[in-house]
This record gives sequence, C-alpha cells and structure tokens, in this order.
Amino acid sequence: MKKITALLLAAMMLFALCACGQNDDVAAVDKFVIINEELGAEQYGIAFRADDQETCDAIEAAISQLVADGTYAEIAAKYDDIVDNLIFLQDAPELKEVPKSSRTFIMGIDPEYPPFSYMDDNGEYSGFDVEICKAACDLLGWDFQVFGVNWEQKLVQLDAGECDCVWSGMTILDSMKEAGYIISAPYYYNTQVLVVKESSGITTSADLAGKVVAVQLGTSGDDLLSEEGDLAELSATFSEVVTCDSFLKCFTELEGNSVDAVFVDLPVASNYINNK
Amino acid sequence: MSLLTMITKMAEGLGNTCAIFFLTLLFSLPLGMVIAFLRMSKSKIISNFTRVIIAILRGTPLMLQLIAVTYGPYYLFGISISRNKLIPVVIAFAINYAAYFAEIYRSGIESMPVGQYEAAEILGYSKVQTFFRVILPQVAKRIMPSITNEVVTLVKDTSMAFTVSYQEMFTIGKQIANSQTSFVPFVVAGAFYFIFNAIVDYVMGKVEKSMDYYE
Repeated sequence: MKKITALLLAAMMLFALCACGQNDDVAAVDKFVIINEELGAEQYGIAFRADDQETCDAIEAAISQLVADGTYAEIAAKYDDIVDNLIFLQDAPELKEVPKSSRTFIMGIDPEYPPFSYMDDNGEYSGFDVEICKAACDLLGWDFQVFGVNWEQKLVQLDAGECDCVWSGMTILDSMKEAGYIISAPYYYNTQVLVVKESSGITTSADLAGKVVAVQLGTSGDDLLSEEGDLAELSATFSEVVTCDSFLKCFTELEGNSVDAVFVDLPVASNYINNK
Repeated sequence: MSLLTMITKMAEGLGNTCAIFFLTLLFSLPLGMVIAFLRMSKSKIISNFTRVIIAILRGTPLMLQLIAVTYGPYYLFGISISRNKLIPVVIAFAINYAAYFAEIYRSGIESMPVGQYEAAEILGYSKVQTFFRVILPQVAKRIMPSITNEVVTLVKDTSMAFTVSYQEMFTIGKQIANSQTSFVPFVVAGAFYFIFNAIVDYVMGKVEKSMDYYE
C-alpha cells in the first residue's frame, strides 16, 4: 500500500514539474496583439424595462450631474483602457435636475466583464459601470444593490424583475429597442477587434481566411459574425467560428492554439492583454 | 487577488451549495418513493402517466429544467420570480432527482422474490406490515450503492445552479476566474467538490456498513 502511494505521489510530482516546464516555454513565445482594424462600431448603453422610463430618466439625470461635478471624470481616470472612448467626457449631457426619492435599485451586471464590471481583489463587485451606478444612486438617495445576471438571459432576468437595469458594458442592439426595452443615451464608443498571437504573423482580418475564430456567446461580436450579422461576409471566410461561454475561455483557446483569433470588445481585449 | 481571498469567497458560496445539496436530498428521497409507488400502481393510467413524467424528467437536461422552473411561471402566468433563488433551484433539483430515485426504488422493490410476500401472508402480515417489516429493509440494503451514485452526482450537479444566477460556489468561482483572468478558481472548485464527495463517500460507506447485519 505504501509503495503504491509513493509511486502515485512521484507520478504526480513528475506531472506537476512537466506542467511548469511547459508553461515557461509557452510564456516566452506567447504574446497577444490586437489587429488594428475596427470591425464593428457600436455603443454601450443601459437597458431598462419597457414600462420604466421614470428610472431611466432619473439615472440619466444623476449621470449628467456626476459629469458636471467632475465625479464622472474622476472615476474614469482609474480605468485607463476605456477613458478615451467615454462619450460623456467629450460631449457632456444636458444637465438635468436630480429627483430625490427613496427606493432600492438593483443593478444587473455581468460579473465577469472587466473593466466594466467584475469582482475585485477583495472579492467585491467593482468596475467602471458599478462605480458610476453607485455614485448615481448616492445622488438619488437610492439604496444600491448589485445582481450578477447570466449574460445569455439578461433580458429575461430584467423582465422578471430580478434587476432594475442591465448596465454592464452592454452593446445597444436594434433588436432590444424593437423589443420595447428603454435604452439610455449611449455612454461609450466600442469597437470589436480581433486578437491574435504575435507569432502567428496574422496582421489583417483577410489573413484569417480559412482560420478558426473564437467569440463569446451572447455578445454583440457573436451577433456580428452570425449569418444575419453585419460581418457575415468576413465570417464566411473563416473556416469556423467557435463560441465559448466566457472571454477567458476564448483567450485560453487562443493560447492553446485551438483557435487562431478571438473576436472581442476592444476594452476587454486591452484589459486582458495588459493584465496577463 | 490572493489565494486566501479566493478560497474564502468560494467557501462562502459553499454554504449555498450545501443548501441545495441537503434540501434536494430531504425532498427528493421521499418524493422518489411516492413516484415509485405511482409507477408500480395497478392502474394502467396512473402507471403510464408516471412513466411519461419520469421520461420527461430523465430525458431533458437538468439545466433546462432549472430555467423552466425558475422562469416558466413568470412567462406563463405572470407570477413574479422569487427573490430567493434557492426555492426554484431546490424545486427543480428535487423533482429531477426524485425521478432517478423512483427508478432506483422500483428496481429494488421489484427485485424481491414473490415467495417473500407469500411467506409473509401465511405468517399473517398485512400488506403494510409486509412492506415495512420485510421488503423495505432488504430493499434499502440492495439499493444503497445506486443511491450513493446519485448522491455523488448531485454534489457535482449543484454547479448547474449558476444558469439562474444562484450564487453557489461554482458561480463565484467562475466570476473570480473571469475577473482575475486566472484558472486557479477552477482548481479550487475541483478540490472543494472532491473533499465534499470524500465526506459523502465516507458517510454512505458507514450507512452501508450498518446494514451489513447478515454478514
């Protein structure tokens, strides 16, 4: 029995050491780069339920106040990757009076979407969107709560009243407006980009003909590459589009060479590359 | 994020994981017995109806059943969704597992030779007495390994509650993984499940041992 245990342990150690060796090798060649091509221009906004214009107006008023008193810029300064594309910092919204009331406001976020919404080092929900929402709720006198939605079902969860808004680096889609959701004024210019390995030598989207591209399920990138999407033509040149349930898995697939590129929102890409 | 914070955060979610686990067992074990009896009913209608229900519960993914139980009532009848997600989650899990337990009970009960019923009848046992005094103790002993199998699977299946945003251990692990771009939380989750199941294994082993009264 002892012998077997010892053998097992030895095997595990060997395995662990092997794994270390591999990691070092990979790190040396692995460098992700963003292809300098803006493939899908879009805007982020906040979604509210169809009958909830009041909440949308209140939040917009609070944001206009935050922009005017400089809090907005202060929070934005903490997020290097996104500060340049924030619409309100270039073009301040019309200042509106903030209605005070008392209620509980539940913010629906994708807790897996840095730098807009994520779990910080202390295990608390944080990110640009979360900080802005918290500041807005403080102004309105609302009790602030965060609810982590399941991104593929975010609108179902909003409808069902599990949260009062979806505010988490969410791309405004025509389909949402058609379905009657109230969407706030856009606050962020986003582009979709392709991320590849530097060593692959791929520099344009045309180089990806016949290659495999990964995209996160339920994101606007997923929509763009679909058969009815705006980038269907580009998508048709790929040999395959793989959907993963998180961007981390997309990047891991890229790292492990099972895909050749990842199609993802620019701020998420730069945040990932900078923190890798 | 330090490994310690990671483990603490996920351990907090472990409470919710345990809640699903214990409540599911509490409801599904007896419910399974009821379903098993309906399935073995002499009435063709009841027995076939139960058969269809079991087929649906076993033939569709648990993940879909979770979504159906959580959001179905809202979309069909406009009933607002419970703020406490534990309720729909436990309902979905309990119904699903009851279907499996029912078939395990049935396999145990139907494996009992007719001779035992006849002998009990001659000895003057009533039907109820026969079942509880003669059949059930033997059934329990026979089906224990199959039950353990399901219980171990249940520990791992709790991770599926993330589909309806229930904050159990794996949901939190996923959030940390993506926020910190690290796969370490998945390793931690694996370790948690393994330890949990090691305990389950030990307890079920003890229970089985306690039934070894003939050896």
